Amino acid sequence: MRIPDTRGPISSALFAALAKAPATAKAELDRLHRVAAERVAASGDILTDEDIQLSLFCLYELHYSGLDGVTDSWEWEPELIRVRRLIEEPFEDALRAAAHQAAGDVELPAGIAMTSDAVADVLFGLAAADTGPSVSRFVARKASLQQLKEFLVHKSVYQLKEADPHTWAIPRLQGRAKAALVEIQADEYGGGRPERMHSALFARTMRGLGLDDSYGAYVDTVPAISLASVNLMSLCGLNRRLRGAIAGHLAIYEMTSSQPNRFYGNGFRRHGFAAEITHYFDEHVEADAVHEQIAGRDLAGGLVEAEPKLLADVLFGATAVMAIDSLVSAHLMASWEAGETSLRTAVPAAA
Amino acid sequence: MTGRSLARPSEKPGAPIAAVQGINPGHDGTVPAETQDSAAGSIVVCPDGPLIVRGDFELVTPSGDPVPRERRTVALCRCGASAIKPYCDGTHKMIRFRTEPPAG
Repeated sequence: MRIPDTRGPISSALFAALAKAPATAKAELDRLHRVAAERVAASGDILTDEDIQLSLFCLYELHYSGLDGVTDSWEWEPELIRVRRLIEEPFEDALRAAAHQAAGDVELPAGIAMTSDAVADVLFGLAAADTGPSVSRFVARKASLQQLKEFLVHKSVYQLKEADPHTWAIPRLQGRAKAALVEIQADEYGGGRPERMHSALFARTMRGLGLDDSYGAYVDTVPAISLASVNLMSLCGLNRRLRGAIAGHLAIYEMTSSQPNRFYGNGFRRHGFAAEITHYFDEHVEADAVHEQIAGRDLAGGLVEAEPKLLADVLFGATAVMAIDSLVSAHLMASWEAGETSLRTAVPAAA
Repeated sequence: MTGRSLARPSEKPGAPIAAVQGINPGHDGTVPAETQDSAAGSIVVCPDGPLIVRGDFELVTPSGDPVPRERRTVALCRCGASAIKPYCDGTHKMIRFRTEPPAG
């Protein structure tokens, strides 16, 4: 991914360090650590802090496709991991606070080991109670062509690497939960056919609307909260202790997908886009009706049956994604209802 | 890739569903291995939801023509309200479809 524009002192210090090799960047690393500690402590709302979310996004990116011109030896540089943890800890605290609110009055049987069916019931109940602002209905009925493009731009930050953050969890799971996750991911990755990978289907939809489908092309244009929704997945995927949370995250993602994707597809059809362009959404209507059953019962439920102590983390992941997605939706709807763009900058034309 | 039906590299056209088991046999570690391996396919009866079919099976119209199928494991509509029948599209949640718990 191309290195994005800086958004403040942390990202400036980070990119200054990454421009060098780890062995020769001691002064830059010291400065980065000092600046990060100061700014994190001073941040009013870490979830919407542009500089912090962009910096964390780029730190995680070293574990995915990397950053253009940055040596891969940075990936496990202890001083850089130290900076990442400095940001991750308050980020996780903020996510837990937001998740706690989103959980509402969900009640769990105390002291009783939950069966996989009971876990699935709780997760389906949470998903059904999700009454945040409906971007999907707006897309279906009202969104302009420009708003459809903005919608794709926000989604592209994750969808062009769709499924990757959850894949980190595979070696951390055993038995039924592992088999369930592998079955879902195999489908996400096209069942062996690269052109059917969900990320490839999304890229095709982007191209259909004249957008640049290269990975990370629009990172500069999306606000902090859109980056935070992807950082949530990387946090839970890259930390073994949060394997319950990434399972809960995927379950809610799947459980809140089929119907919205039907609406998204309708919105693009309303503007005259053909089946090739809407295929990404149509595919998700069918696929996620399968995945939600497997993710709720076999992945999340199977994990809780194997490791009952992880129930709280499964629920954290589930409610954290509800909370963050609700903030993203609120931002989109507030911008569009005011007749404004939801992006930081205008969408550049495709190359 | 250890002989579980889930991991078999090829599907045999025309192979019937050899067994219909209870909830979650495909992933349930409590089912004896010999039972898992002897079933070419399985149907998971999801409470208040669809039928998840995995393994070796063929989905056909009454005249025997294949129903278009994009994935190995499918969810078949049980509530009757799906817009993409025979597949599930999650509408059972909107209409609050309820099933009796399957017998034990």
